[in-house]
Amino acid sequence: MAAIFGVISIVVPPLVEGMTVPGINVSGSFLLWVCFILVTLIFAIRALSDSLALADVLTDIFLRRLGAKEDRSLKRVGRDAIYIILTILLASAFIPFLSAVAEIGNMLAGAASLIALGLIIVLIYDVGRILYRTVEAKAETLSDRLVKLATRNRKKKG
Amino acid sequence: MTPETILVFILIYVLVVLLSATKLVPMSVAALVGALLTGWFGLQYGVFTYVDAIDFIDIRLISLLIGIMIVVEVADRGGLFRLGALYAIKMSKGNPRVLFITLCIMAAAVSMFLSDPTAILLIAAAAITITKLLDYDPVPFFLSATIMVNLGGTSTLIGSVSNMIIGVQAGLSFNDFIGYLAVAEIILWTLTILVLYYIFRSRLRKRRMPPTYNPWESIQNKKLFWRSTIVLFLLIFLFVLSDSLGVGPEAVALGCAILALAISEIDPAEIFKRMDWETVFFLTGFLFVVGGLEKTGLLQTLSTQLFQLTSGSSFNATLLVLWSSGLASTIASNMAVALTFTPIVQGFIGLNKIPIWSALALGTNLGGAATPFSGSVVIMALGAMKKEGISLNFGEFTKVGFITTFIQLAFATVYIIVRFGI
Repeated sequence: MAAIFGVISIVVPPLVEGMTVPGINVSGSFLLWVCFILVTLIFAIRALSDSLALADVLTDIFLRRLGAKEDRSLKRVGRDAIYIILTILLASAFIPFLSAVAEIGNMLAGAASLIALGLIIVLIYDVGRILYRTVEAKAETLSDRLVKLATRNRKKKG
Repeated sequence: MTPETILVFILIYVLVVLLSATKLVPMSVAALVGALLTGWFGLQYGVFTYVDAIDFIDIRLISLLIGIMIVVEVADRGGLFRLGALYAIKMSKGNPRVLFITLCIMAAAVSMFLSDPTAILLIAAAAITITKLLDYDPVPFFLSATIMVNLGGTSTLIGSVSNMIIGVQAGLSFNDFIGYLAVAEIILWTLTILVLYYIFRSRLRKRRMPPTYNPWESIQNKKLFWRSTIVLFLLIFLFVLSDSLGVGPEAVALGCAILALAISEIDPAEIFKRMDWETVFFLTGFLFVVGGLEKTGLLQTLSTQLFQLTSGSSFNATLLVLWSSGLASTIASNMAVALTFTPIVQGFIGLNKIPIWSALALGTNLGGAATPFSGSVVIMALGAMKKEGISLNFGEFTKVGFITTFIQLAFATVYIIVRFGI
């Protein structure tokens, strides 16, 4: 939908070129463009949040297939780091052999590099979200403690 | 050597350390995967030749380890260590404080000869039996025994695998180890027991009378007991004489192992089955990984930079090695730490290396029981406790482990300064 409204925001405003909206004295094409862009942005934000949720689910499914059973603990960060290193090493080991294949060698090597890069991005994404959640949980605990401390101090003074 | 090539070898090293630390695969498999990758990339990038690669595995070190494992396995089957543990418990007469101290000393003494995992299994079995029988709180006994097993054997060539690595690669004999570190080990035992006693004193109060038993009844085969004990003492005697005999410790160990197998009348297959092959294969694989890393010139560069960092001072270099190896051993296997530091220390040209080797031996040994991740001995002890339904959380172990490790390293610092006058 975001893409459709994006296209509309390019195509439709020129059709009303030269028209001015009475009362507010703004050109019709500009007003339409602003409206369509706003709708596009709303859909784009929704699409981005949906795709993030989808990426979460897909990353979980993918990592469970790789054997990650830990529920987003720091041990899983260690496991992700191991997979990242293994991916780099395996890609470095096999790409020279793939390149040597006659005619399609470069294509195979390029595809292998892209697959390795994709895997690494998924794993880094997983590390990022685990670290974010860990820091978030720690910050919440800290803020709860500070609130409790402040409440206790206020009661003592009161 | 291009930076990309060096990076690949660093990644292999980090991969092995991470795989061992997270226990994603057994330690031996982690090191062997590292060795395979080192071989692959080393030959592909022309870092070393096939002939160079074969030299990465120090056959003297592997022979020493296997020889000692065989002699000790036969002695264990003869019942020597069990007899010692039973005598120690009997001597305590049910007093929990005396029993606590006796068990700590026994744990450290047994681990001077047995590998740490075997020692902890033996001591754990004794601790479980006695604490159940007398209804004592098992946590102080278990936790302290684990820390003492890690400490035991710091001053002997055969006391830990990290000492064997340092001894073989630095050319230090059995007598050298005793001469440089025996006093430190005795004081460390006393200091650690005092600290552990202070931590657990409130949990060692009520006294109960133990049942009467004769420790000698635990010996099922007296002939095997005497023969295996004689071979074990012969091993130690020959280690002491090895300098004058003009043979290396690996020759003594292998010779005594053959003698033990020949006179014990036990099926050798049974002995081989119970040996700690995990350690042998880890060591072999990791020797290969470090060998590859050394060929890239990285360890030499690291050594030169560390040497510059210490401003060429023996004092700075010794303390740097002591604390960095000690802290590294709290998270990584002490064998891996010893193998990595050995080529670095060898690069410290122009310095008195004896205090530095002693610092490395102390650091790698003392850092092994700070956290549940520090080594196999801690994991095995926690596993044995869990099996018996005894709960001990990560925090409780880490608190005691860190306090004792810090005190031990602090004492080691003072000892090294005073003993070697650096």
